Amino acid sequence: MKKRLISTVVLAGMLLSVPALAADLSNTSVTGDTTVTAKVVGADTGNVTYTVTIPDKIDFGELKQPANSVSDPVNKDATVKPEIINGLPDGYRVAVFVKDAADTEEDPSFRVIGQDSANRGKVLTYTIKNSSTQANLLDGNRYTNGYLVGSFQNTDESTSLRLTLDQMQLFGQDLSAWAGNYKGTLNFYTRVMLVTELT
Amino acid sequence: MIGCILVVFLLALAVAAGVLYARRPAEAQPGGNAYVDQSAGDWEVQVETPEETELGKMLIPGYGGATMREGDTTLSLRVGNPEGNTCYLKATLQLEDGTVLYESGLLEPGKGFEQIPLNQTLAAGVYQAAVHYQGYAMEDQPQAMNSCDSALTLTVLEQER
Repeated sequence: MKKRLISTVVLAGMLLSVPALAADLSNTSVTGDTTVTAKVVGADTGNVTYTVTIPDKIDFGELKQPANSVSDPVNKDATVKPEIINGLPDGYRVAVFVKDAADTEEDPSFRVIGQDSANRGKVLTYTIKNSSTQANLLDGNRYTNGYLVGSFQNTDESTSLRLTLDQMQLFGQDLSAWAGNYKGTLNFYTRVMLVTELT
Repeated sequence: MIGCILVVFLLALAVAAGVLYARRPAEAQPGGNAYVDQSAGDWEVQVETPEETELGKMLIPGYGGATMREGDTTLSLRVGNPEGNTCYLKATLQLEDGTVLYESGLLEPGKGFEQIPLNQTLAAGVYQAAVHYQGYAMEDQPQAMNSCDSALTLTVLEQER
């Protein structure tokens, strides 16, 4: 009975939330001398010039160990969309990026990490693909603040994403060491940018 | 005799300090003993927004830039949680090097600020900064949700002479 229970133990509560950004940013760049003549893009300074919707969390739900060594994906969909864009100068876009909070140059994968004493440190990876192009974000350019989700000029544009976690990662694993809660962290980043900066 | 009185006095003082410590107000720790920022005023994006953001999504404000003068201790920057969101947002303004200039409490949907106080003044120059919007579930013990950094160019002008 116990064995059966264990075999159906699920990896629950897999919430992808996104904390802090402090480490996301590079060194301050103060340019020019003290006479400031810089042009501020979107001159409506201090005001909200655009808004974007992002997923508030992504829950892969309960995962199960597959019986065979075959792909057994769990898919979740998400959308990133501008709701307002005001006064965007010609040649500029509202760009949205995303990366895993634990991202490193060596390992940029999107991941969830075990949070309980039994599964602490265990890692399950997942992919994020553009639903329209099927392009894996990790195959695209790596920018300072992550991988480009989309660049928007109008509010009728959006990017649909498909997040996929393959349960085959659990095949053959000792569930007593893998069952439990997992949590991952994604960092979104948005900025008004020149189109030419996005190539 | 005086020594005994002193010991009793010190013990009573320690007990009183312990009681006061135990009854102290919870510290503001969003995500743990999260608190709602009562100083936030009514706030709207000032442009048409959805009446209610779909469940599973959060609406994040974005900026082009903000301008102030060197020595200023406040910044005109509209920081807030758009009405229609179904979560709290906590806003932190920081420079690229991580220097935190401002941090709000938890903002309810439709609440925010037109101006924010700064932790420090800045020398004239152009800085890359971002408002980090951290989402929290609207529960008794708000759990951290996704977040988004809204980047902006912060221009600090010389004082007029």
